Parts: sequence; structure tokens; C-alpha cells
Amino acid sequence: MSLESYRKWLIGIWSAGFLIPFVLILIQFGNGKYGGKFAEAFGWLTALTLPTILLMIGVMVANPSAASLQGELPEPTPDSEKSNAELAADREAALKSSHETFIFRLAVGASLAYLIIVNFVFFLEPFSNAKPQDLMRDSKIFLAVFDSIISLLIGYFFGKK
Amino acid sequence: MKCLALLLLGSVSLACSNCAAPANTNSAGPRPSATTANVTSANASANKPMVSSSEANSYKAANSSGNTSRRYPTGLPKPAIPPPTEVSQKKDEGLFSFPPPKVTSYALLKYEDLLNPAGPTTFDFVGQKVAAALETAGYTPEKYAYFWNDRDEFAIVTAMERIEADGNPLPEPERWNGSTNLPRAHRFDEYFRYLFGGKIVYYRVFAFVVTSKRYGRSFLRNSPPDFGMALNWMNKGEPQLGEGDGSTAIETASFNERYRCYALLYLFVNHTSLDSPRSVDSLTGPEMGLEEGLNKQTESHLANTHVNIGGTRHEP
Repeated sequence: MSLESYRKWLIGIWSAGFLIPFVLILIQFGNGKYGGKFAEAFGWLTALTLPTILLMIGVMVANPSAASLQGELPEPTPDSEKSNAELAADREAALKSSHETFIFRLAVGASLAYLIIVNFVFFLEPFSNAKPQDLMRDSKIFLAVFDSIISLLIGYFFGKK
Repeated sequence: MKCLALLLLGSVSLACSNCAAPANTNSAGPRPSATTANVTSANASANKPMVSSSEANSYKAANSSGNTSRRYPTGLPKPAIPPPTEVSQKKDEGLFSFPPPKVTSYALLKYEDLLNPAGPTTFDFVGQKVAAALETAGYTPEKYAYFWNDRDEFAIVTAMERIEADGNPLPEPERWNGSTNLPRAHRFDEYFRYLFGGKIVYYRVFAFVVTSKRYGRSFLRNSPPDFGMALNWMNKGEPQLGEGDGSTAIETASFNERYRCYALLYLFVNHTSLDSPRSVDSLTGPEMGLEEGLNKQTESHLANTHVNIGGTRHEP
């Protein structure tokens, strides 16, 4: 997978993780669930997801990867036609690629866990005695710490040129 | 020599000051300076307390330990003790008040249905009649309490209970759950209702007031009760009318044509959008949507709960 694909995957996951509760909040607002406290719920969701999403989109727009600029990469030459130096460079690239794949999986896993927790605050709230505002307040500190770890992982892909 | 003489003088003066120090500590604290003393006397003459908050606090602390003379400077006037009326007001805080707080609705019970067929009707008889009807409807003696005022009016107030919007009480033990917690979903329909529209709980308190001083519309005048206060009425009320030995005037007072018995209904609501449960009569603006579908008729609440004291009638 190319760097471009990693970025697209991450943006896709985060967009879905934001849009699902966003639509839910709009429906809940229409039904008067939050009364005058709509901004509290909306503010909680946007504060925890939107900065990361906008940062990813902003970096992607401002700093597109080589693949997206040049279109498809050229066909790789067979190993038999490569010199020793080229083979060594390939091995190094393969190692780097496996490292990137590992970081990507880690970033996807952490993002999914984070966004599932964010969504659970909305979707599991009917099963608890607490009000959604209380759940949001209680989970905010924990999620803020989690968010900074995810930002570090995501920054790996979006800080690269 | 001069130096020696100076040293000698210095040591003598030091010794004198050391002798004076214990004498000061044995007296009532450090002496006020001349300027302080002047200000104190000026204030005292103007009858103004010249006590800082920290001094007042130390006075309270000393007073509570029964040792005022040592902790409080003797030269200063003591802070004013609150008048007895304030003390009694604090004692009365949280009681079911007369005049009662604003009701959601009320009904006037038929006078004839409260009379004693076997003899003269006393307040105690009316109270017991109401209590018996409540106990038949599931209100155990711990779920209602008596309050009285000036020995010519009294109220029987029921415990806070959770109800359906139509006025039916929730099944036990959920009925007597006075906590502010919202319900949790147990079924799919509940889940989707709570997810999209929020959770809602209704609470109710009945008060049966026997009075000659008040009439129906006067119950709509005051401000509605606070949920916490209404919840606490059970702890503040008495388990019986009067002292219980028949010696109190309130028990033996005659229930005659001058008196009326009102059933007062207090409804409260808690919802996802509210910070805490509130009286339905204190809802404003969009919050009033929470009253939609809520039965607010005292008569049907009494009927749905099977509280059968007698009929009701319209007030003339």
C-alpha cells in the first residue's frame, strides 16, 4: 500500500466515526433530546474528532504524495535485471514498507477503538442511568489522552513527504 | 570604660524586658495600641460591632467549646447572636409550608364523605380516614407524613413516587425510587425512544390539606416546590397528627362546616435535557413540551392510584 492509500484509509475511518454520531445528534436535536444543551453535545463531538479530521485533510491537500501527483507508479523491473545496489535498495524499501504497514495497522486500530468509544457514548447511553452530558463529561479526560496518542500515530503518515 | 558602661546598661535593659514579657502573656492577650483603643471606644460608643470575620469565627469556636474568655479579646464587643426568629426559620426549612407551595392541580373533597357517622368528627378522625384510604392504595405508614399549622389546619403528604404519564404509579419497587437517576432501556422500543427522544420520568406527591383559611385558587399563587424539598417532606413530617396521646388540640379540633379538605397534586419531571428534576409548573419555553401527554387532573390521579376517600366537588 502506498502512503496515499494509508492516508485515505485513515481519513475514511475518521470521517465515518464523526458523521455517524453527527447525524444522530441532528436527529436527537430535532426530537428535543438535549433541549437547550444541543451545543454541549455537538461541542463534545467536534472537539474530539474534527481537529484530527481537518488536520488530515489539510495536510493531504497542502502536501499531496508523489503517487497522487504522478498518477500510477511505473512497472517495477524484474530482480534478474537489477544490480546489487538496486537489490539492496529494494530490500531496504521492503523493510521500510513493513514498518509503515505496522504503524498503519496500529493507527487504524487505535483510531477505530477511539471512534468506537466516542460512538458508544451516544449509542449505549440509553442502557445507562446517566444522562449523555454526564457520560460525555466523564469520558472526555480519558479520550483526550487517547486522542494525543492517536495524533502521534497519524502524524507519522501525514507529516511525511 | 565608656564601652563597659554601655554594655552594662544594655544587659540591664535586656533583663528588664525579659521580666516584662511573661507579665504580658499572662494578661488578656497583647494590649491594643493607643490608636486601636481609641477606634474601639469610638465604635463602641456608636454601637457598631468592631469585630473582624476572623475574630468572629474564633469567637464562635471558643463559644462552642465553652471557653469564650480566653479566645475572644475582652475589650471588644461580642458579635450579635441571631435573633430567635432566624433560628426557628432554619428549623422550619424544608417543612410542608402553610400556605402550601403552588400545586399542579387540586380537587375539593366532599365534606359529607369525611364526616364520622358514629359521632362528632375531629381532625384526628379525618386524618385517619385519609390515612386508611392511602394505605389501601399502597401507601404504607412510612409513605405519608403529617404537618400542621396553628392548630387549625393540617396536611397529610405522601412520599415522592414515580408515575406514568397517565397518573398510574410505576410497579414496586420502582414506584418509590426517589433518586434523580433516569431509567435505562430494557426493550428495543425503549432503546430507540431513549436514543432519539431522551429519557423522561414523572414524579408525584399528593397532599391532603384540611383548612378553613384557604380556598382552591390560593393554592395556585405561590412558587412551585423544589424537587429536593418535596423529596425531603417525608423526613420532616410527623408519623401522626399531634403528640399521639390525645392531649393536643390539633387532634381533638372539631371538623365542621368551616373546614374543607383539598387533595393537592404536585407533579415533577426529569428529562435528559434537564439538569435535575423540576416541578412541571416551573417549566418554561421549550421545556413545556415535556408536559405533553401528562395527565394533570387530580381526580384521575386519585382514581388511577385507587385512593378512595370519597367524591370530589366543584368549589363554589
